[in-house]
Amino acid sequence: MIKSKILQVIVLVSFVSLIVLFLFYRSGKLDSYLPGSNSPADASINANTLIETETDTLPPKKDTLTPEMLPSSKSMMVVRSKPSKTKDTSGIKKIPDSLKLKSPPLFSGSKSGFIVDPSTFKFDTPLFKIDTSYRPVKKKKKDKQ
Amino acid sequence: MTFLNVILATGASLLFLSLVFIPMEKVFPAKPEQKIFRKHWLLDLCFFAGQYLLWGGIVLKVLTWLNQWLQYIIPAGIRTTVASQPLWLQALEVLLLSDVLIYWGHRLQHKFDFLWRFHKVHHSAEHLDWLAAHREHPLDSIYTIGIINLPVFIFGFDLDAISAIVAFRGIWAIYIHSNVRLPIGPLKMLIGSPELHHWHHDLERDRGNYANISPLMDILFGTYVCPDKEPEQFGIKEQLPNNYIGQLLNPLLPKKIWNKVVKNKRLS
Repeated sequence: MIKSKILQVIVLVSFVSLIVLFLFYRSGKLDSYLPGSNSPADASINANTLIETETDTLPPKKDTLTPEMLPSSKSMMVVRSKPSKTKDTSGIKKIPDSLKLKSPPLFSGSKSGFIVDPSTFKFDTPLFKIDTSYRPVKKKKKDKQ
Repeated sequence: MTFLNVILATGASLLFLSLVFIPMEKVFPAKPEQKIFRKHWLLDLCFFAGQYLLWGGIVLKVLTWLNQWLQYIIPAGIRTTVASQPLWLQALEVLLLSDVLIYWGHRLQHKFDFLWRFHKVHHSAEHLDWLAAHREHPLDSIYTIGIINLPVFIFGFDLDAISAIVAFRGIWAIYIHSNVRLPIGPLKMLIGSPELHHWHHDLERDRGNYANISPLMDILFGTYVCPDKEPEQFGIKEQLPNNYIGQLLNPLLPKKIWNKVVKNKRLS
């Protein structure tokens, strides 16, 4: 009896913990801890310059390329390929909302939500879009040469 | 590389959901006799994989296209005002509006035969668990996701800012399908639970409990059902094939053509 009560408590606590962890993950709070994210730890020494040159003239990618999705009652994606708001854009000129290209976020349906963000399945854009931010680093090196 | 990433993400999702829901289904089972690898689990796995690998992207494309048209219904000034409201207010408005819309949208799916022919795929599951939640026809997905996002399309809520709520709504939708019975007392009048949604999956097509996150709409419109026991049987009274291709094709084809296909290909 006590054993089963303990088991119930353990399962319930782990259930709640995993859900909370998932919510943190999806809201981007864990981005800096995930491998491949643009956290200070794994950013290149040129990262700051890159971010500035990249976003100074262009609207943030998240507004045009990676909509969120409200889950349905049937399914949702748990793992999203790449968080879209990992970059430290503080100090970067912000484009007025009225000028931004709008592709608003989406809820998944009402049955099951997507654990992986559906934006990962955009056929015309690479899944791990932010990974491509490393390309300009190479360009920089070439420039220096 | 890209497709590999999708596959990895699908696998990670499956693993995560298994870790979250299987222990719960074992320790707090609604139907204790139901096994993890119950009948037709493979069919539901196909729907799960199909949703991640095939339909997710297409559904998103369609809805993004739809959004391009809908976002100009309301003047940009109003959209900006809506998006600049405090987050808590936006969250409340989005939850309320999408709950009202999905309640009525869902009711219509059960009322009208044209919508029901797609929605019945989801209801054809005779065993409910977290995996069965994913049994959904792609066109049904477009309908429900479209409806639930209508306030966002039109008013331009900043869902990116309330992404935790978006995520919660998604995972809760899976939870209410899981084979779990965990009474939450009077809270069940506020938050949807498996014990309510299981009754929605009763054999009777119009049993009730159409709301998703909160049963308030059901209470308000008189469709709230909550007996103390589990329904005896889930599923639908109509015949539907028990294979993936058959379930995808059946709603799309007129009855006459479907019958011919069944005769020739033995899909059912």
